[in-house]
Amino acid sequence: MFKRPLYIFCALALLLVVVFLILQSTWGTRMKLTVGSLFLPLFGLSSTVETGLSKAADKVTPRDVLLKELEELRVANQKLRVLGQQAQEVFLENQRLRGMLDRQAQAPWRVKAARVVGRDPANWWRMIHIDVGARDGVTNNQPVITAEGYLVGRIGEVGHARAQVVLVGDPNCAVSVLVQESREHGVIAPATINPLDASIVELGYLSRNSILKPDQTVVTSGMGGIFPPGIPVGRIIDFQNIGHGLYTQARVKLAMTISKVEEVWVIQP
Amino acid sequence: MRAVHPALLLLATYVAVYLECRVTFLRDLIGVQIDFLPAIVVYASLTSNLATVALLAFAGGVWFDSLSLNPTGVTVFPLLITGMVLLWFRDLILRDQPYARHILGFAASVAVPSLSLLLMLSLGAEPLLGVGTVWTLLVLGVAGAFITPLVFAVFDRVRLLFEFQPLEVPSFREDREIKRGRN
Repeated sequence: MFKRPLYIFCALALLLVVVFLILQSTWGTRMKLTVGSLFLPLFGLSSTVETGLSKAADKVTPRDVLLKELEELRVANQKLRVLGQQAQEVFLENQRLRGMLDRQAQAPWRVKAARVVGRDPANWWRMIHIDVGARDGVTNNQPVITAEGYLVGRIGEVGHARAQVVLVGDPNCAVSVLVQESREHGVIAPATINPLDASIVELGYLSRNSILKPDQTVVTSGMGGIFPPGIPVGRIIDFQNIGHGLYTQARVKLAMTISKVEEVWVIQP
Repeated sequence: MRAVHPALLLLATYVAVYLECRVTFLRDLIGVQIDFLPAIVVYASLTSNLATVALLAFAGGVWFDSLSLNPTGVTVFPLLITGMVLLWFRDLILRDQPYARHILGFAASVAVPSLSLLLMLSLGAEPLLGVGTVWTLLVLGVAGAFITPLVFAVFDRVRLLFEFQPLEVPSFREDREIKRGRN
């Protein structure tokens, strides 16, 4: 039915794919970034169109709405200024006390703003694309948080102008966390796939005597070396003893909602 | 002119992969990202040759994987196998019938992600799986069943614009018309 050269063509294509799959760790990433850069014109075009539409929408926003928003921002700014002064005092006190105890001061975060430009087209991974890359100083494994400060994930692969963020709950992003109230340590593991609610993950490796309650806050523990401590991850929904009562597992509702994440901060050392 | 058809299919694949990455409102609504590639491969395998199908499977698979956490090349196999199976049985398929297009779209849209998952699991990757996967495959299948006839309709129309159409000779011939009446 098929001509011989076509068989050879198909065999070559399959061979090439097998080579890709075998050389996944070394050439795979590089290949992926190179091929992915073919989509840069489309990403750029859609960003330009979105910016244009946003500017056009700004121009037709009524003056009353703008004035109201300005007033709200002014009030919020004043509140934040007071909070900032208080935080500054606490920060100085913390530094003083750390100095007295001879403990190393925590390095302040340096953040880089980024916009979410896409999501993983496959249904079995949790990953987003952001519009910053190696040219902006982004490197592998840098933590990413939302504008509100909730944990999003970590940087996966980095291209020149684009990077992939592996989200919390993906099998490639394990996060060491602790329950803020009980100080119990655990690890966020991916839950089984739930297409209708992707914001639930499992908190495992908790001791069997863990004192847990629903609605307790889960934050990063700082262990593992990727995520700094204290970043809010989510809240506990429920928990159960598993492994014949040997340890406890809890379900955690993530603080960030993937579909609503539009802007993120990349934390840089 | 012969190159226009594969080029159009490649362009459609390129745009489809980008849209799957960029447009997510349906995913936010039903929790599943619709995949256009199986529908395009079904169309290609029923209307063009093996070279076009192989090129489409290769380019589409590699593009898809480049925007995903999939190992590079893992989507090429399922697309190519689906395309080749359809190409092999092309003469037995009632490709002009709408219900055949629905069924082929459903089957291809379920087969491609299932084969991708199997391949990934055999390569040692750990994708998110569970009871929800059944829902995902079902939605992908139903969406594919609806998309495939649309792909046929759109591409058939686009082909009309670029390709020479066979000249239709009407059966009416003036010299053989039976003249009635006395004149």
